[in-house]
Amino acid sequence: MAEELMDNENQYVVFRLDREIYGLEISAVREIITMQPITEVPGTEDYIEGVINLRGRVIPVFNLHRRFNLAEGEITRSTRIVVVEVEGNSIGMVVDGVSEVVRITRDLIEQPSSILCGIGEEYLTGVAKMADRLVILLDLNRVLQVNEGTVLENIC
Amino acid sequence: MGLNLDASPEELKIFLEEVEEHFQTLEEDLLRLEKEDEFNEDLMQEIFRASHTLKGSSATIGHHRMAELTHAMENVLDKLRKKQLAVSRELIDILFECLDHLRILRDEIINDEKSDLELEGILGKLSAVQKSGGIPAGRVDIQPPSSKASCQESERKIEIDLTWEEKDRIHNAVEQGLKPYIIRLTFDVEPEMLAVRAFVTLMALSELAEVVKSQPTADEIEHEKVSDTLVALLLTEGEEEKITKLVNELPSIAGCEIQLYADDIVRKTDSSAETVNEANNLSEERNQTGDQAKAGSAVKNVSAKKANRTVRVDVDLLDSLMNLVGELVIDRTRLFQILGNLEAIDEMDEISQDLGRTSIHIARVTTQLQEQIMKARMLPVENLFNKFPRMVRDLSQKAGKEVNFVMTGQETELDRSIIEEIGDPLIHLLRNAVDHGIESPEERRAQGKSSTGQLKLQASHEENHIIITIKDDGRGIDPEQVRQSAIKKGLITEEQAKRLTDKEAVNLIFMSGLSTATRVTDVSGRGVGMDVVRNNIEKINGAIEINSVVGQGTEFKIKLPLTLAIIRALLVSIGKSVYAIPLSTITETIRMQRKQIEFVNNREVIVVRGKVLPLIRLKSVFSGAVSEEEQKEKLFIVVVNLAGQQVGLVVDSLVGEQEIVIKSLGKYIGDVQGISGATILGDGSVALIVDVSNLIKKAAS
Repeated sequence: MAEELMDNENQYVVFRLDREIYGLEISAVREIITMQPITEVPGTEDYIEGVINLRGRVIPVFNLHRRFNLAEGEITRSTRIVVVEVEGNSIGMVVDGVSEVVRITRDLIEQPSSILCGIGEEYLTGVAKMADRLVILLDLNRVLQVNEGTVLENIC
Repeated sequence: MGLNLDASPEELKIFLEEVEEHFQTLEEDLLRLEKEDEFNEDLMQEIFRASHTLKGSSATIGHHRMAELTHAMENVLDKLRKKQLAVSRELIDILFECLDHLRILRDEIINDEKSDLELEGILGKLSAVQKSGGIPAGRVDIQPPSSKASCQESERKIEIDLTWEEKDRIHNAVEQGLKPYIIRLTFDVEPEMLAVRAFVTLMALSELAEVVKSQPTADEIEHEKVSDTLVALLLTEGEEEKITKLVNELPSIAGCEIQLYADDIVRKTDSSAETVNEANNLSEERNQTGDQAKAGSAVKNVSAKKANRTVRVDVDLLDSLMNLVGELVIDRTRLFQILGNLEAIDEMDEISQDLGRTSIHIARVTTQLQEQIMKARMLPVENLFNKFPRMVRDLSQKAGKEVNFVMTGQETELDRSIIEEIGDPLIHLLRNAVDHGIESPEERRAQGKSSTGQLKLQASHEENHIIITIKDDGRGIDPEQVRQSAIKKGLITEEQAKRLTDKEAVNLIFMSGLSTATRVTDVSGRGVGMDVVRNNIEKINGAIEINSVVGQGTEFKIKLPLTLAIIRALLVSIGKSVYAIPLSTITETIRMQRKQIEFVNNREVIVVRGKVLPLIRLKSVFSGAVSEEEQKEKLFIVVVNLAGQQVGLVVDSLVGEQEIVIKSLGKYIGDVQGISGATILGDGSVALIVDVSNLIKKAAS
C-alpha cells in the first residue's frame, strides 16, 4: 500500500501548536486520539498535564504549550492527543490539531539555528521549508527529556 | 567465551528448569540428612537420584565440567547410600560446597560464558572422602581397639564404649523386646586382608541385627585401622543361636564370644561417653536392595502423574494475561454504564435487552477469568522459604550460635511478584535474628534458657491478607537503648524520647538515621537497614509490626496483600478528583465537626477516644493550601495506620470501596510525593492511589 520511500525522504505527522506547524517522524507516532479527560498528578512538572487511560494503560500526557513556553491553548474540537512511543513507553502530547502526513526530502530541511522562532532550538532537529509553509521538526527525545537543566528562552 | 553446548536453546531451557528443581531437592535433603540421627534410606535414595539425574542430563547437553563434578559427587553419595561412609557435618559441608559450585556451573549456561571456577579443589575433597571412606582430617575417632586388651583381662567381660544416644537406643530397644548382644570375633587371616574381612563381617552382622556400635567402626575399617578382633554391639529380635550360626558360616573367623549386654557396663562407660564419635551411623540396616527398588518406583509413579497435569508457563505470559483481564474488568463496568444510558434514552427494545443479557454474561465470565488468572499467578511461599534453612544453618554456624529453625505454612500461596519482592526483607530479618537476636549458647545458658535458640518463620492466610511472622526467643529489643541511641544520633530530642511509649520507641529502629549510621549493634543489634526493610514492604502495600520483650525475644509480623496487581481500596474525593486509599492501611473513617479540631504545635489534631490524632489535609497536600472559606463544617477523616503510627487524612467525601487494578505512573512522571500509582475507574477515568506511608513519614518529620 505504501509507496516506496526515497532514500532521502521521511514521513512526518504534521500538527499545529498555537500558530506554528510542527512535524514528528511518523515512526515514533503510535496513534492520534481525541481529547480525553486528563487526571492531574499533583507535584509534577507543570508541562506534565496528567495521566490518561489508553485502553487500560495509564500513560502520561505532556502539555507542549507549557513545555515550549507558548501561550496557553484552549481545548477545541480539533484538539488531539498524539501518542508516541519511546523506548517502550507510550506518552501522549496535547496538540491543537493534526492536519496530515507529509513526505519531506532531506534537502528541504535546514538547521534550526538559521531560523529561531517559537521554541528553544534544543528541541528541534531542523526546519523544513515546504512550498507553502515552514514545518518545525521536533527532536522527540529532547522534548520528553525530564529534569533537564536548560532554561527555555522565548525568543519571538 | 561461549560454552559450545550440545543442545538447542529449547532443550537448554528445559534443562535449566529441571536443574533448579534438582538443586532444590538436594539442598533440602542434605539439610534433612544432617539433622536426622538415623540412617534414612529413602532420603539417601532421593539425594542419590537427584545427583544421578544431574549427571546424566549435564552430560547429555555437553556440559562436561558439570558432568564431571556430579560424577564425583555421585561416587561419594553412592558410598553414603551403601553405608560405606558415615554422615558428618564435614561431609555435608563438602556436599553443600558441591551444590554451590553446581549453581555457578548452571549460571555459565544462563550467561553462555565460562566462569573462572576451578573444580580441582572440590574434586580433590570428594575423592579424598571417597577413597578414605571417611573425612580426611580433624576428627576424634573412636578410641583405638588397643584399649580393649585391658578389659579382656578383667572378668573376661567384653567391653565397648558407648555414647549417651547409643545407650538410650539400647534401653529403648530393650523395652521394645529386642535383645542386646555384645560379640567379639577374632580373625584368622593375613594382615592385608583384615580390613576386607572385618568389613564383610560387619555387613553380614548388620543384615541380621542392628549394629549399634562396633570397634573398630566402619569408618576405621575403611581407614584400614584394624586389628584381628572386631567387637560389636547388636540389637536383635532373634536368639543368640542365630548370630552364632551366621558367624559360623562366615569364613576366616578364629574365635567368637557372645554375651548378653549387661547394665553394669553401662555405668562403667558413662564417663567416657562424650569422647566417642557420634558418626557411627551403622544403624537400622535393612534388606537394602529390596527397599531401594520399592522406594524408587513409588516416587517415580507419583512424579509421573504430576507431570502430566501441569504445564510450564512463562511469567511474562501470565503478566500480560493479567493486564488483559484488567482491561476487561474496566470494559465490563463501561458496558453497564452504556446500558444504563440506553435505558435512560428510551424504553428497552428487543436489541437493548439482548445487549443487557449479553453484558451480564460477559461480566460473570470476566469475574471468573480474573479470579482464575490471579490463582494461576499464585505460588506457594515454599519456593521462597526453601533457601532459608540452608542460609540459617550457614549463618548460625558462622556466628557460633545454636539455632533451631522451624518453618510452617510453606503451602500458603502468594502472587509471584510479591514473592519476588519479599525475599530480601525476609533474608534481612532472619539474618538479624541469628546475628543479633539470638544470644550465644553461653549467654543463653547464663540466662537460664536452653542453649539452642528458637527461630520460627511462619506464613498464614488471614482474610484478604497473608501474614508472615519471624519470631525468635533471643534477647529482644530494649526500648530504652533505642531511645538513647536515637537521642545520640540527634533523631529525636530527649523530651520527645520521654514521651514515646515503649512500643513507639522500639519502632524507632525503622528510622533511617538510626539504622545506617553506625551499625548499631548496641541497640539489640537490630538496626542495620531496617528502614530499607520497611520501605520494601510498604512499597508492595504491606505493613510490618514489631512485638518485642526484652530477654524473651522479638516477633516481626508482616502483613501482605494477596496480589500486587489488584487491591481493595477506599475511593475518596478531594476537590474534583477521586483518590484511592489502600484498605489495608485504613483503621476507620470518622465524621467530625470542624470545631472539634484542635491545635498542637500549630498543627491540626483531633482527639479520638482520648488519643491525639494528627491530621493531614489531602487537599493541601495535593493542590496547595486551603483557604478558610473553603473549609466545610463537616469533615470526613480516614484514619490510617502504618507501623504503629496513626494519622487522620481529611477528605471531602467518601465515594466507596472497590477492587482496583494498580498501574504504575511510569518513568516520565517518576516519583510523586504522596502518590504510589494510579488505577482506572469504572467510567474509564484515572484515579491516583495515595501513598500512605509516604504521607505518614512526611507528617512525622
